[in-house]
Amino acid sequence: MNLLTYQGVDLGYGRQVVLRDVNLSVERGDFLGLVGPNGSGKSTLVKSMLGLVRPMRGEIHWEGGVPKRGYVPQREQVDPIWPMRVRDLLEMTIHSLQTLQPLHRKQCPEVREIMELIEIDHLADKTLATLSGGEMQRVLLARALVVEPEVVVLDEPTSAMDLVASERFLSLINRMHEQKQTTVILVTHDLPSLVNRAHRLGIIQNGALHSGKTEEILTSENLSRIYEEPLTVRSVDGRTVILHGASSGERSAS
Amino acid sequence: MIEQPTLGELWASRDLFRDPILAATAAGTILGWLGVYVVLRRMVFVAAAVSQAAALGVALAFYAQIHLATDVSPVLGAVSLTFLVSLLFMLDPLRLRITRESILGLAFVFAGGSAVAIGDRISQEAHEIGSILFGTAVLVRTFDLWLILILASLLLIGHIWTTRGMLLSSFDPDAARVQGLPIRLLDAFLFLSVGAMVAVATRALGALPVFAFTVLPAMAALAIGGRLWFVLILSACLGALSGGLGYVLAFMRDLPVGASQTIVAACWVGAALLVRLLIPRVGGLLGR
Repeated sequence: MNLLTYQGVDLGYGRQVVLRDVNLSVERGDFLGLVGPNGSGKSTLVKSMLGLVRPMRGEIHWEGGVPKRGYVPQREQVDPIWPMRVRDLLEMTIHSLQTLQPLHRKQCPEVREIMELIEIDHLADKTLATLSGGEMQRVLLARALVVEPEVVVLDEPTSAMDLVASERFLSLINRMHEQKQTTVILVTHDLPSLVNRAHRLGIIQNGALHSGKTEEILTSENLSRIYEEPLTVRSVDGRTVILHGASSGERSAS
Repeated sequence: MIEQPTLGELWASRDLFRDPILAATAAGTILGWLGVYVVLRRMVFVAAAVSQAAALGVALAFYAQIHLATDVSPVLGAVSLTFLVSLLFMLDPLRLRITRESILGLAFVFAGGSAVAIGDRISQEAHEIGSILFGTAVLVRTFDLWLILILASLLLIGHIWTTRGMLLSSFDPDAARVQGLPIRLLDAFLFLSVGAMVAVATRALGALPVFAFTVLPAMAALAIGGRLWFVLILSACLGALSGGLGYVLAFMRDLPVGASQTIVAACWVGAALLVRLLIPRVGGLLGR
């Protein structure tokens, strides 16, 4: 059953349309990967899912009402000058409308549990300014999960990570998705990192979103049409790879 | 040689000086607390622009009294202009295709320039205008004292109650909104708190010390570091001390009150930076 449906949605800022006629459906428990070049409107689409950008036209429908959502922003959005420990950030997220009283002494079991799941318990007393890029991204993921969301939206979480850290982080997302059955919407500009993870893909190109089940979208014909260049999709050792060129044996992109 | 007044003389005249010391201490406390948000949100210009707007409001009220024969209260003038400028800050800068910093700069320059221009037209009240801009007022009217005490108490209670929400919405507004926090309401509360307190305090104490209370104690507290609740409380305490000790210093050394309070507030920043430099891990040791 669809959790989220977009029907003929135009998105943008002011009078400027960034994405036109978006049609998209996400099922409960899906792993949706959204891909597109910089400036293509990926973040705008994500913000519309989070209620931060309103549609200019069309309808965004959440089945059963808007669910609890967790948001992992791009790391650059977080200001490290804040004198905040990792534990403080997570506790504050849980008790954001309560008084000062539990700000310092009271331990929250949810926080400990999520720090163990994301493997950041050793960072609990570190301040944000002392974290590496990968550590910060894990902390932001923990912050998104600590409220036990039905949907987690991640906006280019691996954009500033090296290959190893990026792979480790994406594996963590996979594990969290499998364990908690949370619906995951992950934005990236790196299609190959998604092809073996996402159930559904949305590819944004020239202001339009092409979306569907991963196996439907990931065909040589589709990708060549969307990217307007010859691309070949192959299965190698059980993993899907994308190759440049229309015929066999050319350069690999994945 | 002129003899400097002593603490004993200050104590003997305590009935005279109690009200201004109380007013400065209360204003310093709440402005110190609010200043942490102002500094962390990188909106130091807010305090400058809002205090200039308050000064413009007072100048306009005097102008209306003298030239238009209209009985407008200077406090009402300060509050009105401050709220107007605060509302300007609540606009979404992205919609206007300019940065929030630019809006603040515009408000600061316009309000400051207009206050000086209008002040020039009301030379009869030149001393009053000077005291509003630079904080040279030695005494505080009972009405102003009560206004400051009541407003500071209410705002402190409100901000203690909303600390977590306010911190989260200041730290990452998008994530906070996704979580269901009423960001616009919290922003409005913060801006109106700064606006109201600055307006009322500027009328009583002057724009310069009010700006100092809103920025310098928070800078000092953040330089020392520690956990956020510690920073908030330390900043409020340093704000209070700047107001109170500044007045005592002004009495003892025969200095203008506003300048003296500003110097004391600046000294906290100097001391905090020195501590930070000598003991780099001080932030980790404090506020555990």
